[in-house]
Amino acid sequence: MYRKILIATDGSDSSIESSRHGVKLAKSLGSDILVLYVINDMAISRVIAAMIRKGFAEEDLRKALKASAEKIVSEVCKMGEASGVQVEPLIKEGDPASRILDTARIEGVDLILMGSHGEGGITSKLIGSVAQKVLNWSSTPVMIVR
Amino acid sequence: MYDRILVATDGSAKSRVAVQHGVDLAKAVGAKVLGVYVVNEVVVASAVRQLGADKKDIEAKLQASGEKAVTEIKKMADEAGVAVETMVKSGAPANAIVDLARTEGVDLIVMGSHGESGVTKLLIGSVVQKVLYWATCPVLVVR
Repeated sequence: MYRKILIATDGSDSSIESSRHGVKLAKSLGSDILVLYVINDMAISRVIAAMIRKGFAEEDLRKALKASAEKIVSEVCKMGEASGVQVEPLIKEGDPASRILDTARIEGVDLILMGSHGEGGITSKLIGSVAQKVLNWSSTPVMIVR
Repeated sequence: MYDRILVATDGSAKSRVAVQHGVDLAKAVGAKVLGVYVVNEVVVASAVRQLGADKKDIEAKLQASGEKAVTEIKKMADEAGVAVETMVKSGAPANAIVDLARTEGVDLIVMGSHGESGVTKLLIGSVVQKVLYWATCPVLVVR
C-alpha cells in the first residue's frame, strides 16, 4: 500500500503519540519510515540572539539544538526497532511545513503522517499551523492523528 | 491496525479517488469499510429558499445521488474483497461525518481534500477542514 511513510515529529507528547500510530501502521503495511524533525530556525532565532547576548556561544547553542533533535528522532527509531520496522532519521533546518513538503517530494513518500498540534500548539486552535500548511499544499495523502 | 474505516463521499470524481484509496488501505490492513454520503441539509434549505425548489423533490434527488455514490463504494469494496457497509445520512456534512465516526467507533476517516462544490482555488475543502477540526480519530486526506 505505502512503501514509504514520512512521519513528521517535533518531540511533543502529541507527536510521540502520532509517531507511535505511524509505526503501527507501517508495521501492518510493511512500509519503511522516514522520520523528520525540522529545526525551526525562524522561531528560535530571537531566543538564540538573546542567549548569545547573555554570553552563550552560538556554536554550543546549535549543538544543543542538534542534540535535542537527534534525541527526538532516535525515539521514533527505537519504536521502529521494537516493532521490526525500518526507520530512517532525518533532521533539517528551516520552516517546518516547507521542509516536510520538500522532503515528501524529494524522497517520494506515499503518505505524510503527523499530529494535529505540535509543540507550539495553542490547543484552542483547532488545528496547528504546520499541519494546516502541509494539508493545504501536499500532493501526497496526509494523515492527521489527534 | 484499523477495524473500521469510514470513507466519506459526495459522489464527485475527486472523492472517488479518495474512496479507492480508502478501500485499498482497508484491504491492506484487513479493515471493514463504512461508506457514507451525507445529504447536505444546507443545500436543500438554500435550494428551497432561493430557487423555490420543492423540498421533498430536492431531498429525494439528493437521496438518490447519495444511494448511487454509496453503491459505487460498495462496488469498489466488493471488487477488492473488502467487507463494506454503506449509509446515506442527512445533515450538515462535516457534523454528520464526525458524529457518525464517533457513534460507530471507527478508527479512521478517509476523505478527499475537495468535494463537489470545491472551489479549486481553496487549498482544502470546507467539509474536510471541519472534519479535521472536530474528529476525534485520525483523518486521512487524499488529494
